[in-house]
Amino acid sequence: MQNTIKGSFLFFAKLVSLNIQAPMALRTSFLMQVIFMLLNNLVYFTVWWIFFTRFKEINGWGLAEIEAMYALTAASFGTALVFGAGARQIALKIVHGELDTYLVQPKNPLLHQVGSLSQPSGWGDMITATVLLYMSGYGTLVNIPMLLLFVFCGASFFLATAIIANSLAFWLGHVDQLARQILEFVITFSVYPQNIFPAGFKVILFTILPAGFISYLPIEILKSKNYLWIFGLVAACAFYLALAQFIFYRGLRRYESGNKIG
Amino acid sequence: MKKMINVEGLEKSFVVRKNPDGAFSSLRGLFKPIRINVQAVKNINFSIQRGERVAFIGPNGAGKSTTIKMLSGILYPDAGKITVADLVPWTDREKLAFRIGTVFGQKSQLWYHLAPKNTYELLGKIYEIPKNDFSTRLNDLVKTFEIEPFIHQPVRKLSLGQRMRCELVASLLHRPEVLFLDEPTIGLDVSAKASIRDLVKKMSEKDGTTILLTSHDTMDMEAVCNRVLIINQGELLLDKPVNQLRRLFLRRKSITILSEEEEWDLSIAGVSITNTEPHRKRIEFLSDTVSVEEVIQQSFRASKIRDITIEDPPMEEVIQRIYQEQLGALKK
Amino acid sequence: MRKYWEFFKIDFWQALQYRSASLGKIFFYGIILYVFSKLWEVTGKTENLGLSPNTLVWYLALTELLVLSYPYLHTEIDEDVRSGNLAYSLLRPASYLWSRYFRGFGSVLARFFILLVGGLIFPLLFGGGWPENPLGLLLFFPLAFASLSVGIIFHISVGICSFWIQDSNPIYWVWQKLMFILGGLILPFEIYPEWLKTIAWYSPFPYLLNMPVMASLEGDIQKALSCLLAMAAWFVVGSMLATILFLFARRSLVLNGG
Repeated sequence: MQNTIKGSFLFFAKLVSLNIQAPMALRTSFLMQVIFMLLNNLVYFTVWWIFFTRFKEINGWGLAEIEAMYALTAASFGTALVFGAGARQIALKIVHGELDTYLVQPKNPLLHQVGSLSQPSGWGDMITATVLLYMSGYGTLVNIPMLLLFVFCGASFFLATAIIANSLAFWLGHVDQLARQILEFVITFSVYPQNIFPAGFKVILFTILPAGFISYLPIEILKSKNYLWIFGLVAACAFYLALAQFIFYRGLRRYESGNKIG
Repeated sequence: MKKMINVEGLEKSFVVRKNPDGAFSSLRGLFKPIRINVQAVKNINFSIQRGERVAFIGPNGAGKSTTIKMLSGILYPDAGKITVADLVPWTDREKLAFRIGTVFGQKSQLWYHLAPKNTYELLGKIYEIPKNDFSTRLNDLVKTFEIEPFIHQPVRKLSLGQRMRCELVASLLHRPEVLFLDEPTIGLDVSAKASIRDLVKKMSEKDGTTILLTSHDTMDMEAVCNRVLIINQGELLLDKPVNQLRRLFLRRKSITILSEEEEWDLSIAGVSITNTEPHRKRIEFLSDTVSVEEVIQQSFRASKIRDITIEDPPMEEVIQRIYQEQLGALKK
Repeated sequence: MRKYWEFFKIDFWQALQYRSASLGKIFFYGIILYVFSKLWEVTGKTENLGLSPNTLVWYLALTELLVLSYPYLHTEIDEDVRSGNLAYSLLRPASYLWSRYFRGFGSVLARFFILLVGGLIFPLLFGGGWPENPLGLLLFFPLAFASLSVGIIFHISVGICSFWIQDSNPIYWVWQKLMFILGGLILPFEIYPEWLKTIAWYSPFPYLLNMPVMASLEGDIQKALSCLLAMAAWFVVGSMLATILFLFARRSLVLNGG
C-alpha cells in the first residue's frame, strides 16, 4: 500500500474536523473564548480609531489601510490557530518524546502534529477580521479572492515561523518560551504599518521575522494595484513552508523519543 | 519461511545534554554545552522469520525500546543495517508504516479526550482503508477484544486494561504483518495482563502476524512467544526458544513463609533455606528437582503459616546467571 | 501581618530567579518601545502631537513598564481552583485572598525592578536624552508601587472568576485591553476625544497609568498627591470587589465540595 494525494487530503480533513469539534463540546468555554477574543481585538483596535480622529495618516496610510492590515493579521493568525494550533506545541512534543505515534503511521508526521489541535479563540480572530475588513472598505467583491489568498499565505507564514522556531528544540532542547516569544514578535510587527521603520530594519521583517509578508505587502499590493507582486508573495510563502518542512525533517534525525535509553 | 526482520551490526548512542530551562539559557547551551555520550545499543545482530513471536527481554535501560524504535522507523541508528519486510525503516518509513503495527505501553495512540471510535475512524483515513473493509475489520476486532461497551466513551474515562485493549485494536486495524509491542502489560493488574496476553497470541495465530514484544515481565514472554532474545547493556546476550530458556534459567523458585513460630525446621533434599529474621523463612530450590507443591505441603506440616509468597527470580538475577554460564563456557 | 510579609518575600525572590525569562521580557519591552517611538517620530513630522517626541517616548516607556510588570496571577489562581489547592488553603490560618495578594505584590515588584533596567536605557536610546524634568522621575517610584498594588487587587478579582468559568484567560484579555485603552497606555490622554476621556475617568485605569506617569514627567507634586488619594479610594473598591467575589466563590466551593 502507498500514500495517495487524495488519501492524504482525506486524512487531514478528518483530523482537522475531529479537532475542531472537540472543543465545541464544551460549549460555554468555547463561546467565551470566541466572544472574548473578538472583544479583546476590538477594544485593542480602539487605539487606532482614537489615533485617526486626531491624525490623518502615517506615511500615506490612513485608517482604512490600518483596519485592513489588522484584519489580515487577525484572519491569518485565527486561521493558523483553528487549523494548526498544534504547531505551537512541537517543541514540547520533541522534548517529551511524543512524536512516536505519528512516526509509526504512514502520514506526514509534521502535518499530523500541526493539525492535532484547534484553538477556539481563532474563530474570534476571524470574526474580528470580517468586521474590520468590512469597515475598511477593502472587502470588495473583486478583492475577496485575493484576500482569501493573502489570508492563506499569512496563515502559512505564521505556521512556518512556529514550526521553525519550535523545531529548534531538536538541537537546543527547551525552546518553548523562545518559540512563543518569536511568534509574538511576528504578530507585533504585523499589526503596525511597516513604513515607519528604516529600510535596514525592514529587511529583518522580510527575512528572519516574516511579518512583512503577512499584512504590509498585501496591503501595498491592494493600494498600489501592483498585482504582479502577488507572485512574489506566493513564492515567498512556498519558500517558507518548504524551509519549515526541511528544518523539521533535518531535526527529526536527531529525535530522541523521550526515554533516552531503554 | 521468509525473513521478516533482519538486523546487522546495529548501534545507537545518545548524547545526554544538561540544558537549563528557559529561552535564553538554551541559547547559551548552544555555545557551552554539557554533554555525556551514552551507548544504548552496541552491535546487535539477529533475524526473525515471518510468523515468529519473539520476546525481547532485559532489565530497564538495556536498549530494548531503542532497538524497537529503530526497527519501526522512529529513531535513526548510528551504524548497522536493518530491513523490516524488505524495507529500510528510516528511509522507507511511510511505506513501512502501512505494514507494521505498534503499541507503546507508556504512550497512547488514542486521543485522550475523544472516544476510541473517533481515533479508529481517523486511523481508517491514515491507513487509507476502504470503507467496507474498515467496518468489517473493526467489527471483527471489537468482538474479539470485547470493547463494544466503551468504544463511544472518552479515553480518559477508561480503565488501564480497557485502554490497552483499545490500543491493540487501533494497532491491528490495518492488518499489519509485524506487530511491535513495547511493554504492553505495564501497569496492568494480573487478570488484565492475562487477558491481553491471550488476545495477542490468538490474533497472531489467526492472522499469522509476526510479533516482537519487549517486556521486563517474563510471564509476557512465556505466555505469548516461542523465541526469546535477551539483551543487557545494549548487547545481545542470548537467543533461544522459550521452552529451552525455561528449562535452563527459569526453574529457580523462591518461597517466603511467615509463620506463627519464631523458628521451625524443614529439610528437603536440594532446597536451601535462609532464616532472614524471626518468623520469616526464605526457601530456594530448582523447580525440576523439587516441586513447589512438595515444599508447601512440608511447610504446612511443620509450622503454622501466616503468609506465603512464591516468586520467580528477578530478571536481573536470570541475566547474572546467563553471564556466569557464558563466561564458564568461554573458559572451557 | 508578619506571615504576609513572608508571602511577599517568597514570590519576590522566586520571580528574580527566572533570569532567561526576564531577559526575554526586557527584549520584548525594547521592541515595543522601538515600534512606538518610530510611530511617533513619523507622525510628528506632519502632525502636531501636543507633547514633545521626547516626552512621548518617556510616557510610553513608563506606562509599558507598569503594564509589563504584571505576572500571570490569574492563571495561578486558575491552577489553584483546578488542582483543588484552594480547598486546602482554606484550612490555613491565613486568608487565601490576602496571601495571594502579597505573593502577587512580591512578584510584580520583582518584575518591575528587572524591567526598570530597560526602562531607563531604552528611552535614552530611542527618544534622545533625559526627560525635560529629570527630577520628576523620583516621584515615579512611590506612584508606581501604589499603582501596582491597586492593579493587583483587580487582577486577582479576574482570577477568581475561574470559579464559574473553567478558564479566566478570556476575561483577562479584555481586562488587559481595557487597561490599555482607558488607562492611556499607547496614546496619551491629550489625543483622546472628550467623550472617551470622560468614560475613562470613571474607571480606575487612568489613575493606574496615565495620571501617575504624567505627574512624574511633569514633576507635579500636587497631581501626584491627588493621584495617590484616588488610588487609595480605588484600592478600597477593588478589595471590596475581590472579597465579595471570593465569598461567593467560597460558598459555591463549600456547596459543591470543590
